[in-house]
Amino acid sequence: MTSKLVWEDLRIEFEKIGGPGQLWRAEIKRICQYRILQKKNLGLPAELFGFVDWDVDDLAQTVITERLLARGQARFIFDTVESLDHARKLLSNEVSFTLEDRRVPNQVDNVWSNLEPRLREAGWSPEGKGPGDNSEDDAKKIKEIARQILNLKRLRNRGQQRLSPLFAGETLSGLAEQIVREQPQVSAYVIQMALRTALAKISPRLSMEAVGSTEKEFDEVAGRGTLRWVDSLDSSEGLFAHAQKVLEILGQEGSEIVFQIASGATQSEIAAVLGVSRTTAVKRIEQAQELLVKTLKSLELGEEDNLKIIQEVFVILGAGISDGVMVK
Amino acid sequence: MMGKLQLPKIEIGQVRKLDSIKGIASSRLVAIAEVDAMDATCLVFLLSNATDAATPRDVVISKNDVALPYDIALMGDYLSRADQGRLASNPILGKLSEELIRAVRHAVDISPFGAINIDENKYSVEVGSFPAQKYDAVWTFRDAEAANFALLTFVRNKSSLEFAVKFLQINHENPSAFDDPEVNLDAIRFRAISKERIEVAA
Repeated sequence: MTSKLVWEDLRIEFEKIGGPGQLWRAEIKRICQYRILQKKNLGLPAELFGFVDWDVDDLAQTVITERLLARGQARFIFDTVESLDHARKLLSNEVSFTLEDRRVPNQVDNVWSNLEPRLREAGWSPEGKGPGDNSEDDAKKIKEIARQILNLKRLRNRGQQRLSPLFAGETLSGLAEQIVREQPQVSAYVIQMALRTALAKISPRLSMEAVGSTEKEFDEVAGRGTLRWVDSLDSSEGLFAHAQKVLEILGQEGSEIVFQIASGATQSEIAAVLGVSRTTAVKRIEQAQELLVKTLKSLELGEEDNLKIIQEVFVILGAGISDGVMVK
Repeated sequence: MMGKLQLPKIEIGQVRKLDSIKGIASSRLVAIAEVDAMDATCLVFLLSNATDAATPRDVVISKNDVALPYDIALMGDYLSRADQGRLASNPILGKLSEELIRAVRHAVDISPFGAINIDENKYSVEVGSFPAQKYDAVWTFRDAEAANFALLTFVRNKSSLEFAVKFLQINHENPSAFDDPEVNLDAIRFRAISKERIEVAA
């Protein structure tokens, strides 16, 4: 029978070998696993954080070498904490800091810095701390604002190698006014999360991260949460996981094409969004459609399940159906 | 017979762990800013490892200057009182100069808002530059640290009965401590009563 891990075990191990050992590594891996799952669910690619792919061992090793050893943070934790929960919180922060250190600055940062003054100008008066007490309420608001962002007219893509502007200033002012009109006291956290949600759908490269661990994240790390990989299509989590997988295979451009088609964009409009000629766009649209069909086939599910997954893909992408017509 | 265990004396500038309060607040590293033998308490500055998120109200001290294996941020606004008993049994982890501690206290006192003004070269420190904004993750982190620190420490009220009892307990064998004109009157009264009881009993 194995006994339950306590801080004393980690402390003794550290003392014995003069640094973090296997028990520490196992805890860090557990936290990394959760963080990776969280990022995957948000559609964030590993390259955004300087990794080739989302590999738990890679991330855990980076946390250990760059933070716990090189910056002496393992020793800080050893010197400071008295309980496993406290140790996990600090380790969780270390994982956040590692990801933040490696994060490539992106357009979402630019969008937020352009949007925030416009919100204030429009009379925005945020109330309360970051995440609100009612996470369901927050989730509802995030979804609503994300949908508004997805509906904004985007500027033509000027290539992926540079941070070309996403929205015109006037468009952002309109968004700010709409947000303030409808939810004048909405928190910055909700707007930032909505931006992250919306822009991760438009392009997974365009997301933002925050340093720090919320209590909810900590509960997940401590194994008290609900975030799990679910395979069954009967649950919304399972459906979401399958749809996410499809989007992952479609890639950034493929997802953009599916989103544009779903919202009734013409070939010329899709060409403008992709920043390519119409002829090239037509080819890419065909490729994306073929890839989508191939991916669905590879899942080996029935037609009804495939339809459910496609619908979920549209929901994730921010497209919807109104009066039998696809809308953004 | 074993001799009485001699713990290293608490002195200004020492970096020590302030013990947790089970189920209420978790432990933190602190720097001693003032020691008061009158009621066996001391003023402490909260220390943090979040040097990347140090704001203009914090001072970042290099590991070489604090004799620790990691850099540390001294959070200028987080100064409060703790019982020496919750520090005394923990080892001295590092040491800051008394001069630096005084300089930070002074800088925080004279500028309650905005960046603190301290001679970075003179004290080999760096004033933080992270622009914490209301409701962002660093703001939330600092808020949580403040809440935990408030539970770990307390504000002393020298006129309270609690202080009088504590003063009496600590100084019951030191009559000269009661000569101080600032001694709580209740403490003097309690001492007089307890002394009377001893005499009556005798």
